[in-house]
Amino acid sequence: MTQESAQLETIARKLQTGEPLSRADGVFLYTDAPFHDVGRLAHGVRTAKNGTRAYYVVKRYLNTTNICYAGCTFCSFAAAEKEERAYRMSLETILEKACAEPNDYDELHIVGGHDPKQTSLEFWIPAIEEMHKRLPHVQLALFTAAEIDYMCKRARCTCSDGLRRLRDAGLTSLNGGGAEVLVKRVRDIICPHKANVEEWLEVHRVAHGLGIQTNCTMLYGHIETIEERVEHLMLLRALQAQTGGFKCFVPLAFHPEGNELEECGWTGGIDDLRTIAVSRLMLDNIDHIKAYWISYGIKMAQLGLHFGADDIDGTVHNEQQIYRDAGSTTDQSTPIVELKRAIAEAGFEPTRRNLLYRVLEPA
Amino acid sequence: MLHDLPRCGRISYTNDLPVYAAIDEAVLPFPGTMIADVPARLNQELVNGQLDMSPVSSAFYAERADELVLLPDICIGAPAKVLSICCISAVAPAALAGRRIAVTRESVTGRMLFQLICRRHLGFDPLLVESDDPFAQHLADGTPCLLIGDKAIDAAEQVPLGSVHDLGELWHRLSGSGMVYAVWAARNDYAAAAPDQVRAAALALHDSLEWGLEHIRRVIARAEAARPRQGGFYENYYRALHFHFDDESRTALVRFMQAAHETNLLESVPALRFFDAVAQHA
Repeated sequence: MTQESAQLETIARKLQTGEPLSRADGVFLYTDAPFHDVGRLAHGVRTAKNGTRAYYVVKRYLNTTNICYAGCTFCSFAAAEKEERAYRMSLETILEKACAEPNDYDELHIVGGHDPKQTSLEFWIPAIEEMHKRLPHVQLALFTAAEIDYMCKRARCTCSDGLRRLRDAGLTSLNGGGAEVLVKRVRDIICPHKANVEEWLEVHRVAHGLGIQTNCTMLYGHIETIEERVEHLMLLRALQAQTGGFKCFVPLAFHPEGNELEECGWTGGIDDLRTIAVSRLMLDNIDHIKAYWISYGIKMAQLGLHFGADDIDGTVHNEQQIYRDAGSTTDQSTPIVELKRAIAEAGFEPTRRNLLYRVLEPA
Repeated sequence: MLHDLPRCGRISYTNDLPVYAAIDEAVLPFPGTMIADVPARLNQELVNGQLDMSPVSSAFYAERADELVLLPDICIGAPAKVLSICCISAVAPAALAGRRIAVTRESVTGRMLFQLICRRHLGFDPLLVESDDPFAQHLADGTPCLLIGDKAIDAAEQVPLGSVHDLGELWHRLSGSGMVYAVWAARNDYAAAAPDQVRAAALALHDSLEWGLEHIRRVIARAEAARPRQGGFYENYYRALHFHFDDESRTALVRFMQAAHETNLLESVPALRFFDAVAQHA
């Protein structure tokens, strides 16, 4: 038996007995393990956890401001206030866009920037209360941990206080962004001015303690090493073991256009699929892995469903500007019927879910 | 009662495989019987008379040195990184003041070294709480823990790298010293009553170690068969460890004992007494 197959066998045994994979296992799966074997193992775990279901969500996506002073080098979306392309929606505009017909969607997903004039508790707490009044059927996924950290620092309150106030106003869940790669070396280069590793994790830890479920992400394919990706996954797994509050992990492929890290180029399809699969295998305690079709395109997302993912995200109604600014040409208005067809064609059962993965409409 | 063959302990971890390599591979006979266990139990069995010779924790030796004589050639030490004695904590050890730290019962040296580092270099007395499974506790609620042996190596592979704090490395960074974690000793009364048996066993261990270091590939294969780890781990591990109880190791052990004494972890600093010297003197 070659060392490679012995190592694969050890990993398969661990997966069967429920033993978490080690750091070395993660690096091996990323670098030396045969591609198809990694996919096969990940598909086995995905099937054990989620059967033949593949989830999608009917949601509206708003980027309410692109003014951001975090200065992340990977970002093509952020603008300084004086730039021509800078925009900041007023509360009225946000409510108008959120309520615009058809508003029979299930989730409102809002991401902005570190905008001193909008990203504040004073702005958002009444806004959340108003959204709840107008759209009582919609669950709110607002803010990343980095934005929570920013708002609480500006309000000079602890993130526990800030999150409690947001929860009491009606915040259902936090988005998974802002994690990028949870390694100091990487953050010092790509996002030195926003929440650091400990702060990002602490926001999620506190949120979970307050009953706010969250997602988590990893922005991969820029300056990070494979070992750093694995370290990132292990940090998420360690926190999840303590809190159980992560619902879904979303690998986010770096898009290189219009930012300072252009020379890193696009991620390859093999890397994308392997990342989905390794995530599925390393994050044994997180139920869902997303093949985010807006980032990958619908065809790659279909393949992702065979490499460990059980979710492709969903209809977005309004356009998701962050990936578009970074060069994505994916048609972002794919209707429900198209998503269901893509899932079914891939051999899975299209399953409409809400933000907390409650099944709303099996096929 | 004097046994014909010395009853010898051996540590049930992979760290001492180079010492027993030739004996394990039946290249050399061993003039004694061998009982494997965790260091803390070997310590007790040696002074209780259930064993005649055994590796013992350095901290235990320091406390009971008047009852023991050292074998002069072998030890388990490391100039810096040791890989198998770790504090697992999401925050740096310096930030652990006032927090409960779950510790294994398996070793006294790891615990004493950690207390020493905290008291002498980090400025606080650690709050150590014994636990049957400190790592399970860490995984469940993030409680920092102190682990030794193969459990430490396994745990270090399962947690984020930033949560692994190698005590050997930390001690080296803060004190500039290496460290000796285990020494081989015989009980005074046994050594006095059966010096030939002790000498024969000590010689066999010495020869076995030399063979093991010369045939390190075979030792590594044995370790991998016993406890498979990723390629290259055991090369690094056995390269990090130092098995000769030479002047450098002896100095490291004395420095550790002196520092432990200065921080009230050890009542007195014993002089190292070696079997050969005792035997010649007798």
